[in-house]
Amino acid sequence: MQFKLLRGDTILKILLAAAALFIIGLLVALAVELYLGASASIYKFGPAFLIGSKWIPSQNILGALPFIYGTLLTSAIAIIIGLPISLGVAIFISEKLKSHQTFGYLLGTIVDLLAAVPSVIYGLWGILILAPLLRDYVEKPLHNSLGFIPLFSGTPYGFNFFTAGIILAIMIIPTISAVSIDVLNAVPNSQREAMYSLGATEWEVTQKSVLPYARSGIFGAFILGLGRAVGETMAVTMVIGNIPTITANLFSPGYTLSSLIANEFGESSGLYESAIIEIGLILFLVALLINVFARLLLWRMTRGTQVKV
Amino acid sequence: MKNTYIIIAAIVVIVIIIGGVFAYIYASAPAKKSTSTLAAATVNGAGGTLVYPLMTVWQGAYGSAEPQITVNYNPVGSGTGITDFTKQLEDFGESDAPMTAAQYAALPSGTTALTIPISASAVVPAYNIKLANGTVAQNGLKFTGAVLADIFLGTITKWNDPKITALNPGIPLPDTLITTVHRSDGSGTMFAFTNFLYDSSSTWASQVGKPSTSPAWPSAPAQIAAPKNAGVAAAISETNGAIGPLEIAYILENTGQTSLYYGTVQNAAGNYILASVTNIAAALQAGAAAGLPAGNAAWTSVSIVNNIFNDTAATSVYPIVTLTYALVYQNQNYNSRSYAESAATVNFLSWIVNSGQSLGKGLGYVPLPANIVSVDDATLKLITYNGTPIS
Amino acid sequence: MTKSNLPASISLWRKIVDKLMTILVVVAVVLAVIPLIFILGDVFIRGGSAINIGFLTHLPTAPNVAGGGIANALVGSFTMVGLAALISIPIGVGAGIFFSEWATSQLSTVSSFMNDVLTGFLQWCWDCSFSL
Repeated sequence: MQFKLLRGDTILKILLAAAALFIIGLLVALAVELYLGASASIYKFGPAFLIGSKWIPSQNILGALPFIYGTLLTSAIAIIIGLPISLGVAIFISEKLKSHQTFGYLLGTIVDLLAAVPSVIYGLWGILILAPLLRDYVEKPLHNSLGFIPLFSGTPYGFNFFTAGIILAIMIIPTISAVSIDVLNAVPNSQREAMYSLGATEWEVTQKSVLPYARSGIFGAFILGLGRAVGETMAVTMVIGNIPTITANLFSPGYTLSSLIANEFGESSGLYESAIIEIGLILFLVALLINVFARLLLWRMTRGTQVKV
Repeated sequence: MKNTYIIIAAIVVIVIIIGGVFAYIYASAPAKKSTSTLAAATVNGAGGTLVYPLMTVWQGAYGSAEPQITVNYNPVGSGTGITDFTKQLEDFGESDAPMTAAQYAALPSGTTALTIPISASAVVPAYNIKLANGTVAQNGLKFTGAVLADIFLGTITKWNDPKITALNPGIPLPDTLITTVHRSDGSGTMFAFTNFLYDSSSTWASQVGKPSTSPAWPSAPAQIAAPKNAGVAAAISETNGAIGPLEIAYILENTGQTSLYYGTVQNAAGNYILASVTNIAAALQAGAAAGLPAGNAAWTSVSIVNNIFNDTAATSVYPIVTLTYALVYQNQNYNSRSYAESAATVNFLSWIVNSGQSLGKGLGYVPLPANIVSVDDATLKLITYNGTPIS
Repeated sequence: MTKSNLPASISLWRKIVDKLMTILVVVAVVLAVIPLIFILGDVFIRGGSAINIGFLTHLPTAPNVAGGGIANALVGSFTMVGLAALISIPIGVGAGIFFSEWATSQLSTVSSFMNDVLTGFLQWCWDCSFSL
């Protein structure tokens, strides 16, 4: 048999592949741990757990639907409000400040500082300052003027889906902006110059040549932001009211998957603990589904653009 | 590229230097001298958050008394505290509610758990109400158990409901909607409060069921749940017309809190009592006098609230009080534990039950009365290591 | 990159849209920065006076006792960050190089997908740890 010498290249490839495999291994280990912890509850409650809408631990009636609803609703509000603002920030820093590089870098760092604030601080700030502010200056006027729309039909007390969505929006702005700025900066100037030579205004250059080019990158940033919104815990728990409800009324208190786990896990034991872990498993699957969906969309959008995240 | 390497190297060096400086400062703290006979050991406990501030005071004071023993406490919650205790991961567990029958059954076979009350707490109805005449309602609004139950059931919806105004003549209660606030996370405070409501109202008993650390709160027209005492306090102080059960220790500890007042609750003798260290201690005394089980028996149905609920002779007791318990194995010779660890655990528990009780007053923790302390001392004498008692 | 000099013949509508979008984008930046100013301002105003050398080098005292510091928390943070960096940087950089050099391989696609899932999910794990 021929003695084959392992070349440096091959060794490197194996090491790097091991690193990539480690990530897969980590995820699989996480999924297995969650499944094992939740197995008692899965066995006892079965699929009814996913679609049940009542959560009464003392009578063993457990349904995860209100929490899934809460997670999706707050994340949706966060994205609807946070994404335009993040894009605005990214466009401002990347396009408008092209001739003032240092100032742009400084502003970008300031926005990044938002990401450095711990979740608990956001929660305390939310419960003490933001919730009353929103209640008195935003929610009450909305309720009074547009109360006939189901979205604004409830009397606002400040601790509801809306406030939680706003806090989440603030928290995902740095995530989406940071990535978007990099993506927009990576768009080659030839794109812009070509549009300018055709006589376009600044906004038209951004809208018609830069953004389409960076489409997939920005979408990737959006997915990162959505992932953070789905998983965010302490800040949401403080301001969402923590009452499991399914309603279109944005001013009603609600409950999310992560808040439930944060609130109940420490005091739980036995079958109830297993149910809480199952909620964790559901959260994991929600994150997984969002990413699968995003990857598929991204794959369809990527045909034609070149900037990847 | 070269500049990047230089920057990275500089950062690494700075981090190492800072780390080294801290390590030096930490290590150069004066060496602790020990005069006691106990061997050096570490005592680890985990459990409820109610007693956590007091535990840090105890750790400091005990550290001065017995410097060779380090006590660590992890406030993970009563449920996890009991689970870890069952898995024998800690020297002692801690819980705001006594172990249930199922939890006793889950203990490793052949072991007996001893339940030792180490501190107590009381729950007060805290509120924030702007009265009809523009002023803010002060401390002392009168409540009965039945009225509180109706408020949290959602049957009483406004502050000027006749049931409340009947108890409080002369106070211009407004026509504001009542917003009920409760803990979103499990807590011994909620256990005691729902215990009291369970006793006070048959409607509550049938609708909500037995007291629990995470009860199934009925839906009131306006209700909010917030995590931890801090969350509940913030929610109440931010919402006009809000009422919620709050731990007295939290209110006494945070004297700067505005827009937060608490009311009186009627006890079995018919008196309206504003919670204070004296009447809480009296409640503990009376409740314990009604009888506590031996340390190695099941404490599942122990409830100070129940014991004093019908005690018409106890005129000055505050009705909503609860104990918080340390859990320890009777036979300390498990999992290859050393004698030193067991002796340290027993010494620490004995110290907190006897000498440590007065240290909590500044934080709003009520010292255990003498009858409970003697029950604890008797229980601690039951602890053995390999058959021989430690004490 | 030079700014375009809009010829006079450009339609008014397009000029308006351009100015409007500039304003909107500035509004977005202001909205993004306001909460930060709020939070940081609050923290600095209330907490700034407490920072001194003693605060950074002493161990904490019991509740309601004056003095003490956050030395243990700082040491703990440094230790934790150091250990985390030691483990995560080689693996992360390694995986990243693999994704970019062998981007077409199936291992790459699967692993980078899982990486994205982990990012969002682990944020939650980290947040949960605050409550426990």
